[in-house]
Amino acid sequence: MKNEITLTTRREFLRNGMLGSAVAWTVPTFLANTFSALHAEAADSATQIATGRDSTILVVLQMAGGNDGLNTVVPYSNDHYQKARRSIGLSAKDVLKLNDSVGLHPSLTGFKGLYDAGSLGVVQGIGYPNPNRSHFRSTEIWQTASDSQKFEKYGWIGRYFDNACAGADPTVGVNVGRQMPQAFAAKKPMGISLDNPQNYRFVSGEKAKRGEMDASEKSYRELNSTEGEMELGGESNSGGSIGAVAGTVTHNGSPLDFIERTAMDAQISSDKILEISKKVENKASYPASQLGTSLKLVSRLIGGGLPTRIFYVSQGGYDTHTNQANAHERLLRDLGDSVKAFTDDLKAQGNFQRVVVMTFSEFGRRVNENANNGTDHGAAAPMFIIGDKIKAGLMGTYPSLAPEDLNNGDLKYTVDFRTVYAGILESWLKTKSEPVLGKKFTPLAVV
Amino acid sequence: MKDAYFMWLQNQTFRRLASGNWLQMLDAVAKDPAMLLWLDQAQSRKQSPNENFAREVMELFSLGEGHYTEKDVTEAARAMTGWTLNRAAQRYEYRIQFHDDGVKTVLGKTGSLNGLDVLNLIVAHPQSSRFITSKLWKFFADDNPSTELIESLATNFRSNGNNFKPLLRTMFRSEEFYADSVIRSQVKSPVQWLVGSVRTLERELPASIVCMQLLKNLGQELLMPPNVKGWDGGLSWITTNNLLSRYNQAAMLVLAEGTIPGDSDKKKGRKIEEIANRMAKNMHAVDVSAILNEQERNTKELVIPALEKRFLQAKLKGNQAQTLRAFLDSRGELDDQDIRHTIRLIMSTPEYQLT
Repeated sequence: MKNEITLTTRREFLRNGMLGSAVAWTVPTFLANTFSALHAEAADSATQIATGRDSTILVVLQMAGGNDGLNTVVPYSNDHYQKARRSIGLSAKDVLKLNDSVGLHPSLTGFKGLYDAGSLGVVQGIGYPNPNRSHFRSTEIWQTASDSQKFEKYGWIGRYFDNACAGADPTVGVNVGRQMPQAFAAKKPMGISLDNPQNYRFVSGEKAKRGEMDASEKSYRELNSTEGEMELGGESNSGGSIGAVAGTVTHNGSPLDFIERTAMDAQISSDKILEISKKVENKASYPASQLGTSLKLVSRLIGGGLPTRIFYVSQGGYDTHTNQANAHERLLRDLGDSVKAFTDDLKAQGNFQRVVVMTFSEFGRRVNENANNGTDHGAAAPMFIIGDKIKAGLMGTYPSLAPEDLNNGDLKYTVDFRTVYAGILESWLKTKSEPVLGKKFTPLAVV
Repeated sequence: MKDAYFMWLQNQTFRRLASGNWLQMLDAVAKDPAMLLWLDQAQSRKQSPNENFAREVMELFSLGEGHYTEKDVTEAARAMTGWTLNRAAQRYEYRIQFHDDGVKTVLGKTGSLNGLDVLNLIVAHPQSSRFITSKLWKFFADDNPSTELIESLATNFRSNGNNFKPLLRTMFRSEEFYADSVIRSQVKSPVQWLVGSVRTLERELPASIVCMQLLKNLGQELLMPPNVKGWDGGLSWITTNNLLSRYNQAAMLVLAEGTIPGDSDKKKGRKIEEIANRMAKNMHAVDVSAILNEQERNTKELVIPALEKRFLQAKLKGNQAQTLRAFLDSRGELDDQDIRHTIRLIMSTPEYQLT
């Protein structure tokens, strides 16, 4: 493949130097620490850093606001459902039936197509013990994979990077959006945020000679890559005293360190991102929505060979307290159509078998609708897993809707979301899930 | 909340009461059309109270998670019923027929409570003064105030009748406010970055549509926070993409060069981007004589120290200063355009993003 791109890793980047010179050069302290630590970790790491054209890719799709699972995967033949949802309930003739008891929301035609093709898995009854009904706290629980009463600093994706991707290129994780999700927070942050590829490079404002970098851009690169505190002379230092260094590696956490690191990651990744986003074309037509646009970009980055393992996209607006019907219908249509277009695009590229999409929302909604034709914050809800190699069909058990089985009016979960994460980590990303999730969860066979 | 007029009204409310009283502020914000709609209070009825506002007022605006129970939420929601919006008049209205006047228990107090009672109970809760003073300290000073500091600010706040002005005065005059650990420990928000840059550059603010697009690319769309909690701020302003946007948009402010890249897939969005770029073409480069005196403008040795002082209020790191000097040397005779490029480069450093 001509358009395959090999990205420089942070390590190679440091070794070669920004300006390609072999002179002694300086690096920020935190990078030097990372750099030395890489060797320590690489030595006893059983997991090879798998990047490149053959590795598997996970796309995490956040449905922000708390999606009404009951009107998404609808238990249409359940009397309790019909009683609880007198005005916004969906009936047997509305839904896209999956079997005799559940069906998809009528606007999820995109998902129905994928389901029929064996490319969509539905995990029912997802949640966690002692559910929290705050958007922010519950999102945090999902992002950090923590117990409901525990506060974790780092995200589950960040811990995956820390545990399995040491030394990888910063583009091992790509968030499409303006803010980094907490899921990416890591001891050694990795991953880039991208929402506007055209602005993803330094524009010098000067006219350079063909094929040359002008003075302004050269200076920018120097200003954003040196600190002058630690001299590192070529490769002789690279082994270092592993034990001593590895023990003390922490991100020191000053805002300046953080910005320096981000600046470095931006610099390393920007040329490639721009090249790819210009070169690779989409081969499917996407909805003109934020989600559609995000997935369109993800598809181009995959097609262009970026060595990313995890992409993160999001769609907001699911907090449907009032007049839910129209808003929910629009959101789900966008969701189904955008994901469908994405899978078509990947198929046309020949990359569909490498990609799995996993959706999540911070909580489902209350079983009883409220007086404003909407629904309030609830608990358990379904997740969708999309891909060529996933376990298709319905998984897990739909929670009982009988009033005596509810917890404060909410569905009780039947599947812990962390068993899904464990399944994805073990079977798809090929890494041990326990160090990432902080404890042992029996992986759910979603892939 | 997509209604820009209501968001503007809410912003006016914040400005009017920023140095006023805490209870008044909570009351006014709760009755603001934007909040009544955003958190569905306008639609709450006694038959089926909507919990959205009752929850968020405690979680996000006054107490924080863990300082109230789920029961407090449902009971407070009952007490708040009756607070609604007169849509035709576009203002708050109390409707007694929507109000649940039964007995409720909120934050330990039982009675036939109404909306104002709930806000009073919140303000009287010791956690609320800690919550709001800590929020203010984090906004103005740094992210890691000690428990003792917050406790003392909270006590000060309570003893001043929960009024913001005396609290702010105490804060700004405290020794802690000027501690080394506080100086340059915060990331400039996009608005701080833009307004601060314009002032430091001694130039006028670009046309408002240009500002709007610039801020959008930096991650802060005015009157459009990502959710009712507002922007997370701090390090979350900095991502690889936003940082590059800051560097590039510095070129626009200093050199009047470059465009404002847009990413809109919608016709209307593209139109706005187009107009903004057209307006941006009318901008002029920075007037260097407003920033440096005659001697500084003509002497390489003086330029960099003068710019450091103005833009960073600190010394550049040794090799950064060398880089800039090498840059100036590569350009021969010093002229204003070289100085502008140097300014832009200083603004394109991690250090410039801090305050």
